[in-house]
Amino acid sequence: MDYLLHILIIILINIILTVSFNILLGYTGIFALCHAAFYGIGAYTATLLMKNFGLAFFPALGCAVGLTVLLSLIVAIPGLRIHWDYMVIFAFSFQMIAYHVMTNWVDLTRGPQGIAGIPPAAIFGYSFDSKVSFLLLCLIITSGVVYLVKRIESSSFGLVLKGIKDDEIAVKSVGKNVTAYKIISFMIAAGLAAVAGALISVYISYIAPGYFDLNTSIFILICLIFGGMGSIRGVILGTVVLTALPELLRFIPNLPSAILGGTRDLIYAAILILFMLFRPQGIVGKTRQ
Amino acid sequence: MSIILETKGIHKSFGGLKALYDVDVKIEERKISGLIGPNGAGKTTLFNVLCGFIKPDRGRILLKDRDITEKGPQKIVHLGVARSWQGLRLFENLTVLENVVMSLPRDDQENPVMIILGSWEKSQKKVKRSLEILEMVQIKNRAAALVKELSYAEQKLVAIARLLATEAEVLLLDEPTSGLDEKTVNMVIAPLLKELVVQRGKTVCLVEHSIKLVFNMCERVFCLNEGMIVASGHPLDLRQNEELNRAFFQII
Amino acid sequence: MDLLLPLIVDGICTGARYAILGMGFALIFNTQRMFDISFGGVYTWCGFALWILVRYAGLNIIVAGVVALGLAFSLSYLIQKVYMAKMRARSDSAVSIMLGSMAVLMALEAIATILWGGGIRNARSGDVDVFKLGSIQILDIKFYSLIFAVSIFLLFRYLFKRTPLGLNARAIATNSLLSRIVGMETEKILTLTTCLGCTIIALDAVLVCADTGVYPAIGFQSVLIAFMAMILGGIGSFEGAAVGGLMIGLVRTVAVYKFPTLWQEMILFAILFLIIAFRPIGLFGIKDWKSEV
Repeated sequence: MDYLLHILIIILINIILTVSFNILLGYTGIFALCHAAFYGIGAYTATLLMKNFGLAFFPALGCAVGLTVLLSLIVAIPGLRIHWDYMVIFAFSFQMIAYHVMTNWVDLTRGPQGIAGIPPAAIFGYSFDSKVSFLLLCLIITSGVVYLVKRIESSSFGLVLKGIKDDEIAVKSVGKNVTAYKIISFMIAAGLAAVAGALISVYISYIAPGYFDLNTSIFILICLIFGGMGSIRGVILGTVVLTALPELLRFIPNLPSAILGGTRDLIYAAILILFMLFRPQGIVGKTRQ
Repeated sequence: MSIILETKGIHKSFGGLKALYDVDVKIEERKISGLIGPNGAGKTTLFNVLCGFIKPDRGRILLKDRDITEKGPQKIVHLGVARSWQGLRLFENLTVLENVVMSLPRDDQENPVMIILGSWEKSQKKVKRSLEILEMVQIKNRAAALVKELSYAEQKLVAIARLLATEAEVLLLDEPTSGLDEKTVNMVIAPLLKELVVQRGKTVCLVEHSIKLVFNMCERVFCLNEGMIVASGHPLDLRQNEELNRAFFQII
Repeated sequence: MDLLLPLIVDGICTGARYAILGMGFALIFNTQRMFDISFGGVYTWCGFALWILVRYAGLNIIVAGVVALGLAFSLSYLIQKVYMAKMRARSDSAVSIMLGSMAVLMALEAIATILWGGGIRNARSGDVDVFKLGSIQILDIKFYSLIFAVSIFLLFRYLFKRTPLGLNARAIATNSLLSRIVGMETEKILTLTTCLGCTIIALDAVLVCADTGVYPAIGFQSVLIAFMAMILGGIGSFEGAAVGGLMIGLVRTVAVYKFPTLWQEMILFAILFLIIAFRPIGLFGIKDWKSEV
């Protein structure tokens, strides 16, 4: 039972990640493979504020969101001027830089050892230290995030984002400031990823750079591809399936971890391959004219 | 009549190729003008320059005597010049209605939070205005269809609707009638353009290959060949000139 | 500056290896005009192939090397024919090609992990030759890297400029719309140059396996280096990629002298980041290879 609650919590946190990444890739068509970096920046910021400065959970979450949003501009602003095809590599290098900072700035982040002993989330004296109570907290926050993203999708803003994915130049020709829209969508996506970061920190009470590396970004990407980009329902479904899947593998006894990891990666790769072959529509984005 | 949009000495080269050479164009307010010339003459390039998608190597562009040469394309739309594309460039994965709604200018009264979080469908003003425009272009019945499901002719109408939605004063249309049947052109496009100019005070400039349409609609014509303006004036006057007639007005 | 000179020499040798990677990738990219990174999978498998051939089949290392390269060519041919060709037909989008090829890379590395685990395998024989250049000693493998890099550089410059194959490849690169219409001929040339590029890259795998050893994730590393080399040297430039690789090798090796080891990796990514942000066309890149409107 405890295990089931655990999976549900992880699923809910992952949904925040994938649904927010969907804003970038699914709606706007920006292939920013650095979402885990934002996740990590949010996590470390919240953690350090809670541990070193004794901030309570919600204020720490707020600050984490703020800082991550600010740092996302490092990718967003130069990212606008470069050609579309470069965005992948550009965001990817940001991801790697963030990972290396998390690993190497030992004075701040304690490096690969990670930071342990993160206090549970609490508000007005009530502490979310049981799995059930935390699950409820996640449920509320994740629902809030999903609701927010749904509203964005059906807004005028969302329409323009989708237009940008189809034809950025056409969007300019109807008088919309594409740059501003891209920057804002970046900021929103990064901010939401930071929320997930704060949640995972207080849940596991331990964070390490390995949680926020390229593999995680790829995982988020695959959830999107699997579930079908652009539709929130699909993204949620994809997240649920792909989060639960590796857990099933754990039940196979005596599997050495290398084979476990390899099998998981193989499955991800297979999903990617099959979807690219048979259902590339969500992913295609800009086609050459 | 007064000049609303003009260029002075526009030069543009791409690599070694001179696309526009010393182009002076004066578009008159509240008139329908035509830009004609053989393929590759530079008509679309001129449109691109007028709308800020391409910066000229030399020369200036003036909108109501205001220099807009350095402005970006979206700013120029706000200032009042918008264009449609020869390749349509519609938002294929959105519906017809969405294409138009998206192109409406920003409502200054709407606060940014509402723009991001408020459902556009609930905005009565936007929806009503969009449907009106679709009605003008006679494609209201397809409002809910995805653009990629439309026929080419229907898509061309949507492109015009989208242009109208920007509420720009000066409308530049790049081959609005190519691929359309005569009936649509005569019953929908031509009357619409006339109405826009006469009743709504817009200025229209067309890139056109249909000489018939040019004679029907344009009060002024600019003849572009190999990047240079060869002549400009009323089509009937220009036709008197043997050479011009042969070079430009025999094009089907 | 006693330490500096050997470091520089070592840096040049490492740079030579990276130049090989850069040149192979440039070959692939210049023809396809797309980021096809499946060569990373080929790299890993070629390295492991060498290991198996030397350790289990007992082949002489040079023979094994040739066989491994042949396998690399075949593998890349298979990948192109079975998967990448279909991807290209389906979509023009650079993102699709990159994702698709990344998937192939992931799959191949994953299979390697499952079969052989994540550890390092090498085909190093007991005896090692050392070449002397004045007071500096160069390991034989490293010396060979240099020889190979220079040879490939010269060979392909000649190929590109003089032979029909080279001209065809360049024609495809500059006029892909036209060549799409021509169709089948294009696919064949594309496939051939891509496989050639993969094989060149795989040569580095052979060198590495014979030296420090390979592990499943090394393919991805090769992609990173190849990318950086090409972006640094300039998109679209074969010579630039070689120079880019050389520079990265030098920077990496000499940086050990100055910066703590930990930050080395990050410096490379930071360089990549800054280059893309401020000068995406790189040092020798060809401008306007993508036009917008």
